[in-house]
Amino acid sequence: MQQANIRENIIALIQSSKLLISTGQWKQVRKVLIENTPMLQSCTPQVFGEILEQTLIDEEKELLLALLRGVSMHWRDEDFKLLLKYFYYLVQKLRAPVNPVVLEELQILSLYLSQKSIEQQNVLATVLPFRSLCVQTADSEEIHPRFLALFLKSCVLSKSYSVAGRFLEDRKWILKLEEIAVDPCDALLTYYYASIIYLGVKDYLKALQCLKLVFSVPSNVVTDVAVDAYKKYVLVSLIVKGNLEPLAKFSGLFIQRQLKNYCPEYLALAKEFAQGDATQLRQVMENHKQVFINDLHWGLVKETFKALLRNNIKNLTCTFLTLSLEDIASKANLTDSREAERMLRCMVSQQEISAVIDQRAQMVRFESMNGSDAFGESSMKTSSTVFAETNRCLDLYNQLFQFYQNLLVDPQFMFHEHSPEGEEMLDHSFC
Amino acid sequence: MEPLPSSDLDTYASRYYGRGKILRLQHIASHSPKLRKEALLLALAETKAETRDVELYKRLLERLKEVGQVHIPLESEWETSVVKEDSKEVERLETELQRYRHNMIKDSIRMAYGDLGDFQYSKGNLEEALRNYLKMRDYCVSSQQITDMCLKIIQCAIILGNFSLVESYVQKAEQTPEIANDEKTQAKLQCALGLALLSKRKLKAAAERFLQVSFALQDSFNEILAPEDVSTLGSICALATFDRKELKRKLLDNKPFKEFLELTPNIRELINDFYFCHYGKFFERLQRMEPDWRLDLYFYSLVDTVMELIRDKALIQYVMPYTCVYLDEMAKVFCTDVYCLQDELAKLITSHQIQGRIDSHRKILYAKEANKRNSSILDSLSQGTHLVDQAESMLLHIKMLKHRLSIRATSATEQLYDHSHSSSNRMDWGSLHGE
Repeated sequence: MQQANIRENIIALIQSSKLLISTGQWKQVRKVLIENTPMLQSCTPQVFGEILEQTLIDEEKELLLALLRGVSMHWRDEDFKLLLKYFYYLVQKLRAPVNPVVLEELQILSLYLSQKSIEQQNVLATVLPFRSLCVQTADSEEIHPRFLALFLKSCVLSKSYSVAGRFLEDRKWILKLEEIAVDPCDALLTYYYASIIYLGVKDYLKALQCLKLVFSVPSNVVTDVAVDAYKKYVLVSLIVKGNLEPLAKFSGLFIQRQLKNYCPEYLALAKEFAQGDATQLRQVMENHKQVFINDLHWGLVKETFKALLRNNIKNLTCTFLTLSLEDIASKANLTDSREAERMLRCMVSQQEISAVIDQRAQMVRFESMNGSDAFGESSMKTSSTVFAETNRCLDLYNQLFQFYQNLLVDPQFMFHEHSPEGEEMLDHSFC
Repeated sequence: MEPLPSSDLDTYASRYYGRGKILRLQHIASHSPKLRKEALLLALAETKAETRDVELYKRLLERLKEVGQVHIPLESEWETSVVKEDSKEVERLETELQRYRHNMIKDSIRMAYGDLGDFQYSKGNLEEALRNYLKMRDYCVSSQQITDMCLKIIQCAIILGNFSLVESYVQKAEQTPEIANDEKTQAKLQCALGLALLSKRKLKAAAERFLQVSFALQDSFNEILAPEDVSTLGSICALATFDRKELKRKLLDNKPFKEFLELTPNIRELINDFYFCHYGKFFERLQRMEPDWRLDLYFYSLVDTVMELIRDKALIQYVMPYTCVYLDEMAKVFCTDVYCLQDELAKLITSHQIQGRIDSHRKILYAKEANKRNSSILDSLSQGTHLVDQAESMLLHIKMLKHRLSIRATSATEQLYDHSHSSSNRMDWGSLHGE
């Protein structure tokens, strides 16, 4: 009997909210929902679900959102799945461009859902809804940073690397930064989580690019994320480039210096890596093993060690035409000729080096990778590769040039450049 | 291996005098057990003859006793008289200085500080001597006075091993207007700067300085460097760092420096052997000379580096004309075995100093034909990738600045890095976003 009354009252509330939304009075809707919190709280999720399905038609997604927001703060933990189901249902109905107020509501709701999913250890359930949220709210190619960060975070925590990997692979993802409500931390987290995704799928080059972008987000303080990203950056840079690449100058010298103070173990590792001695590197790894394990970087550190061995073998290919397996093992700090053979086999199959192994004579003949197979005979392939790269460079140059031109005629920029606040804004990024 | 000099110690020591000679002999005593006793005896004699340093004299006596030299004539009379005279002398010099300062006679004050500095220098109070020499600076008027003051400071600073002071006072002396006319002083300054650069391991710059030293130096700087040292240090540093053209232009065709080379025929022959590619003779000579250099006060710490550089240069020069080289033959020339040679060559190939690849099986080094087309394409592609990376980062940075988006300490949604945070929390939204 009591639930029947509640049902009546909620339907009345929905009707009044509909009227308010139709006249664009969103703040009023929020107020009404807050006032009726006890009533919404007393309604069971099942009854609420029935009401929604009976009352709402496809076009009234805003109302559904408002109600979801209203109930989300008061429902019990057990009802999380139902709430997520309605959220997914709502998200699928969204079409860009989305009303800014709706977007704001969505941000709060999605953050709430993300936190609840972590609390309930059911992050996997949020992957698809958040993926849908990114797609549905994307304005042409521009994705809202908060939604992308949440989606990537869900993928990272649920280890759904391939889902996120495919998502990032399929589209040219550009962060939408024009929104007023954009939090710079979202951009930072987006690139940070993207780097973890790429590390998960072992695409170290893209992970390195994402980590570089983490440090491109203007910042005048050292954050947890930046420190962890820098630790990853050191290791990934060693794996991909074979040395620790300096960060871009605009990352801020102050930040760069501070970051170095937080990870001396990683810098020691990089220093030893530069020496090329695997035994010494192993020693450093063992000395700081607990730090690396606590940072959840032990796997990456082991990859760094393997990268050193591979680097050593690559160097040998540039130096020698023929070399015995035993010599390779001793020069590349491998345990024995069998390990050298196994490693060579692996590197040849991955086309990292070009070599033929004579097992009978225990000799290896290295062939030049820079020969005809790289850019020699196939002039069409060569020219298309070079043109593709040149076009990419030109495209970026044009974007930078366009930005520069806009800047020169932007009165707001000129004002800020000459005001103390504006100077501070520019200063910290170049400090 | 214990270094043994090619010439006898007496001849070597006779090139120097004063505190520089004592330092050199002490260095030899520390680095060559066979020459220890002889070096200490010579140092003791020099201390008594040229200084008033009783403390040093006692120390040397102690060391001699340690090495088993028991028949040393006791010189207690000399000690007593020196101590007595010193106390009178220092009193006299200080009274004089006070008087001049009271009368404000600039030139006399300068000279008094100089005398006091010289006295302390002779007593072995080098820090005190340097302090007095530095005080002369305020009372120098003419260029000559500035140059004299600089030379005193430079000499004292070299003995103390303070080479940054040496550099700054060489610069100061070189700025005086009349220095161009004084060849001897110029030569001393070049020597001092050469030593300072050597101490900083700037071998090429040091070589260039030593090669500019005029023969007018003669034995005027013998307390620190003898002309033979200028010849040796200049030539060896040049061998280690100059390319073939520079070697010809700056060393072999350097007529003024030839006079120095005449003093050290071994060095002259060594350079000729290297330049005319007589590697067998060259390495034989080099090995004969190495023990001398290991006993040199200013050069001993650089010997390994220099030897390595010279050997690398010789290897590079040797393989340059060949398309393929038999490592067996090359090993004989370079007085080594094939395996060591292979390692040396591999190191040079890795550092791109030799363009080649080693056939370890047949022990042949093949010259690598540089494929300029491929390497240019690879270079441009890697540059392109680098550029794209940088441009993307920059675009993100400026876009965020344009929209006034930046992470700030004052922002409520941001927390400073805290060591107490666990790593698992760092991935959590909560580490950056408050409710």
